[in-house]
Amino acid sequence: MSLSIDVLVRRGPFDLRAAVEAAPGETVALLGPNGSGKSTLVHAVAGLVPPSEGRVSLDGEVLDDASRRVHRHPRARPVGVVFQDLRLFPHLTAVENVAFPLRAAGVPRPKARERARSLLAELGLAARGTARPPDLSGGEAQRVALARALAGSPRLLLLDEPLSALDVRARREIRSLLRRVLAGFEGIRVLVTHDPVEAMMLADRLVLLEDGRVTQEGTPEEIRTGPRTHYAAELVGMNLFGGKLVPLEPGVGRLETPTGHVVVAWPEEAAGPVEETIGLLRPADVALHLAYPEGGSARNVLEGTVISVAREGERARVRIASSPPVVADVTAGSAQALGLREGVRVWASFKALEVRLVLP
Amino acid sequence: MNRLVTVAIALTLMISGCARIGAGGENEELVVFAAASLTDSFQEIGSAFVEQYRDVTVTFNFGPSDGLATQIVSEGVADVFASASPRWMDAVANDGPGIIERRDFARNRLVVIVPAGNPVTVSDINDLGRPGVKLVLAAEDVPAGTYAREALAKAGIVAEAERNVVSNEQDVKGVVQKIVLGEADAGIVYVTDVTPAIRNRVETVAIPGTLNVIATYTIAVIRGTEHLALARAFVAFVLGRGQRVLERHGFATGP
Amino acid sequence: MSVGSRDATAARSSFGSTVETRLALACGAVLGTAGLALVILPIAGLVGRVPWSRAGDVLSSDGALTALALSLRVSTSAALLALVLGFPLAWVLARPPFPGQSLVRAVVVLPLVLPPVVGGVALLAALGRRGVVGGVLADLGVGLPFTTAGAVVAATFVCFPLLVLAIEGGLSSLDRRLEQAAATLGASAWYTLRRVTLPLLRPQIVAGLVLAWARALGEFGATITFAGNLRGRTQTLPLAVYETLQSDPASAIALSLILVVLSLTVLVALRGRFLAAR
Repeated sequence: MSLSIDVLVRRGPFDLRAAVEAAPGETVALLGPNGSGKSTLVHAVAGLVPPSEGRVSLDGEVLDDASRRVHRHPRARPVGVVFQDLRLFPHLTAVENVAFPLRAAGVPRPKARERARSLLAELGLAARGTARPPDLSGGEAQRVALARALAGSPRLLLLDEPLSALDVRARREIRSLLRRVLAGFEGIRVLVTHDPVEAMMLADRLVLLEDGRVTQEGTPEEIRTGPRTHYAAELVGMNLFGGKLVPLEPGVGRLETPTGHVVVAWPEEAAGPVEETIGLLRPADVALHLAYPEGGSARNVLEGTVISVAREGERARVRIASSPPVVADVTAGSAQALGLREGVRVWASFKALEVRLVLP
Repeated sequence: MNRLVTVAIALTLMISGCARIGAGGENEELVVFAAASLTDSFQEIGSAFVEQYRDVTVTFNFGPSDGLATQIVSEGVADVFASASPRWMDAVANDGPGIIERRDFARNRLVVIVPAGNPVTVSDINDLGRPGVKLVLAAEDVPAGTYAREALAKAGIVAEAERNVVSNEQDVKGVVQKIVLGEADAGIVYVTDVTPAIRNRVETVAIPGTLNVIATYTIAVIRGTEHLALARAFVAFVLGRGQRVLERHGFATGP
Repeated sequence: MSVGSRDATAARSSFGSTVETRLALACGAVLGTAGLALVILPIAGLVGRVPWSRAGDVLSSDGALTALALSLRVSTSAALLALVLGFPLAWVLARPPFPGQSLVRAVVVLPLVLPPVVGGVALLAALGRRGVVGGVLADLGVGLPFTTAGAVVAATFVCFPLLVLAIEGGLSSLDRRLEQAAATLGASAWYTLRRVTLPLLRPQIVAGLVLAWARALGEFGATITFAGNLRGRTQTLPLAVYETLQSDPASAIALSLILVVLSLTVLVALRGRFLAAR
């Protein structure tokens, strides 16, 4: 049992090119910013958009094969979809919505209703069966949509941004419910989201999608410790510099990025200049000064103006428009003491040793 | 196609029922309500009248005499009324504004018309009682309809004929149209309704004198009109020069 | 200057002076009242002239009841026939553009703008005894002019566009995403139509039917031209009113009352539900 996707989908001026594999027993999360093509991929796997090139196959059955003009209609795919906009039928009650796939398959009404009711009960909605979608809360509607997708006993469950429409409280509640449901689902689970927290909490494996391309894959831990793109680094809250590594002095190198240079410790494995090197720097390792720090050991001192200061509890995350741009984490107290706010000119310093290099 | 266009225009005009003769505008305007069967003849009379009198406009409203009488009684807009039967002139005289100088001015007779080709072979009025014949008459209260039923009664076939009636038209021209279009098998209209325009599309079946009905046309000035002199002049015209015009159109004139 | 008054001044200057606003409101009120009067006055006038002492006799007379029964039969049949014939057309028109679509739409709307009498003449050209199709029907022994079926055809002809347009509007504003969802849930095209599309279209279908029914009820020109005027067979209420008007206006007004009451009843019963956008 497995899902194999390797497609090119053209949607107007936008291209999605992705190859993803998923096995039963794991939840794969497609993570990417808005506009990266996540929904397109969901629609393609569901059969609503035929790929321009490539194949989609589930358990060895070919659902799409562009070169042989094979395209199985959505209704013939054993796929259950929970859409981002839910798409509950407004004229049917919760029970009728959940029973829909069963009735469409010819299951007699009493049996279908009974199964629907038990599904709703499992999701904690036993009392809301007769309510209609307009009367359901965000969290309730989400659960009905989930129950409806599961009712047809699909072999692949696709969830498109399952938590995005919910408020903070509902989100927490549904997230834990989803974890439970996903863990109990025997087929393949694919989840699509832009929220890293959602992805990290629900998925066993992450696939990062940017601008219609897969840029990185791995477990949440792998991504966290080794992000390979700006987006991935942003996700996990790191500074990322990418460019050509050139030797500067014995034991010291310079990472030349399009937006500026960073001095780094020369990695042992490198014999000469290395293209496509990534340097990771934790924001907490960046110190801020209101004047050029004289006589320090830090090899990197970048000047710039503050773009924004975001307080998160005791921490303040400061973005600086330097070359290259950096993000620094300081205590809230320090931020206040230094009078850090938009437009203030600062100097950011960090040691060459603090930049962790990732060679290609 | 041609025939239908003519019919369409005629129907539209008929339902609006109006025709204006003369320059309009600053001229003195005379409004004449006249029975539908007088359409062609009175339009000719109107033109001649306007030519003679200059600076006047005559506006006609042609329609079924019963409908016209009712309009005059409730709205009283007409200056002159020419009715196809005395009954509706009486209505205006008694229930309406009243009339001045009532005169009979023409007579008419009935005839049976059938579509060209005589599809169900009607050879005399008695055939109208034959089962299956699609007969069209003017409505009961319309003079042409009243007269037609009188003739059928004289022939002793009113009941059978009524069974054959498929439509009661609002005026006699409606009957003509249904026959011209070939939709009905037979109809009863005035002899004057068989105009040159439709002559080659219908055939006529005469009604013998013993069974036929004489329709008496009456004309009068409506009491209270603001154009008394002109209205009187028009009536005089109809009784004078107008008589030749009416004869040419098939009406009987004289004593 | 305090923030409050600065806001107020800004609000005033952007909306215009209060004098201008009042003037605009006043104009609106006058025009609105005139519009209402345009509809209410004639109806009120009609009701005011009903000869109440005679009304009972007129309304319960054989002719009136026959015409009423016939009108109800004809209008209902016409509305239903329009639905059967019109739904597929509405579907076609709601699809993405195809060559000739605007022509199809123009043809469908034609009966709305054609004078009904002309419509009647056109029907005779097609379905009359010597008509294109009518000739064939006549040979088979089927005749439409002068029959109740003919009255239904005439009424359907004029009310058809209203129904098609109402349903087309509903179809094109239908959320296709719901139909997509139904597909992913395994529903066949037929099942989706029955359980998703049609139920969601119900308001527009009802609206179309009601409008078509009301139009069919009031149809005169095409009926009298194509089907003729015969009590019990083709003389619907409007024709009866017209005929009575020729000799007895008071009774005609009483008869008209039936039509007014009938229409008002139906509209009130639906409580403008179909007039509100979905």
